[in-house]
Amino acid sequence: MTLLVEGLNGFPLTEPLRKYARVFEMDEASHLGPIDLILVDEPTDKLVMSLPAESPAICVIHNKDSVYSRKVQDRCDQFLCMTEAALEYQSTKIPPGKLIMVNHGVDLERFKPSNDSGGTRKTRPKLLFYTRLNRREATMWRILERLLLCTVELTMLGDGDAFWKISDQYGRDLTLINYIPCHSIHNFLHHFDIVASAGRGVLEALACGLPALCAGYEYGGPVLPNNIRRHMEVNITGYRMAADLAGMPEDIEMAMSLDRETCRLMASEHGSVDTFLDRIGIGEKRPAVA
Amino acid sequence: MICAVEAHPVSPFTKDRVSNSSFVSFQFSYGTLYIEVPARALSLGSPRASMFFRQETAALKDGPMNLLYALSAQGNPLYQGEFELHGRYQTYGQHGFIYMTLL
Repeated sequence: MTLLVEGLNGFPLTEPLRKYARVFEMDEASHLGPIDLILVDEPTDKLVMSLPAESPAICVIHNKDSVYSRKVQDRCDQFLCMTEAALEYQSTKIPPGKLIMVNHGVDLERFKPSNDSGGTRKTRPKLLFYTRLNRREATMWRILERLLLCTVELTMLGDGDAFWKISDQYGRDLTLINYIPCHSIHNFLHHFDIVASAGRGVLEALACGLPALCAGYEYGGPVLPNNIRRHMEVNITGYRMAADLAGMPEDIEMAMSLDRETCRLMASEHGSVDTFLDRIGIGEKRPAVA
Repeated sequence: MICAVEAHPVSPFTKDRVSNSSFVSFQFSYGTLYIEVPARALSLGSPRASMFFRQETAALKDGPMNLLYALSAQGNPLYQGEFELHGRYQTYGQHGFIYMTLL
């Protein structure tokens, strides 16, 4: 595994990943050696021009509205959409033959249920709400203010323009945290009984055996075995779902009625990284991590 | 699909995508592996292209593949420069994806 980064200094995972991969700054691309397949992320023209010319490249699309230059479109053999929404939007910009759609997943080895017994149901469960605090601010405020009315011990995790506004208005009523690194979050999740988040956040919670509410572009209600397929169609963002916020206490109750195994099963069936990697063709060929 | 192997002294794994041909060759320490693929799959632009990648990457090598993850992190382009924290950027979902993919 090799990581090539344009702007290595600003990338926070350089040292954590150095244990598992060779890491290079973009101007060291000549030292890469033979490469079988390239995954390209937020590519600039300069970055794609530095890549080994003979190796096939797949461009990973994180933001459905991303715009790719002609050079990037020509260099990349495929564009990997991870939501139906991205596929729909990008099909108006990129030749459909280059587009593939594979739902992403989470590492079920790293995200797993804690060893404690779980104990009896709490009257005031610990709920973690995590989301970015810059976009979709109106939705975030509506969800937050409804959560504050529920019988939960609320922790809010996220950064953005609304951080200080939340601190000013509700700092006494919740625990507010701006950042947990992505390689630490599996430890943090075990402090909670239920999670409200979107996309990867929901899958990580489910993998840990925790029930989850969908809170992204819109409030999507509880993620349950009988509705997870529908949630997955919009990457568990609640997009075009708009569940009734007044029903949140019942939604929490319903989600918390699921046992750990059911939550875990939803993640393994619908959001496993191994399935994701297999589908893009690199699953079995990743080097084993010591 | 037809496969053929011939003796070859080259040790590093290399790949040679052959234009206008229905064979792709892969060089291993023990020889060269030729794989017949539909010509249109070689265009890497058809719906079969992903299938081609899967066949190519998952079935043909003995050892782990040499995967390169190439990322532009200059100015946090995914969020137009936002979310800087003490000199580094925090983009939870993207970084979680990279960490997961490379481990």
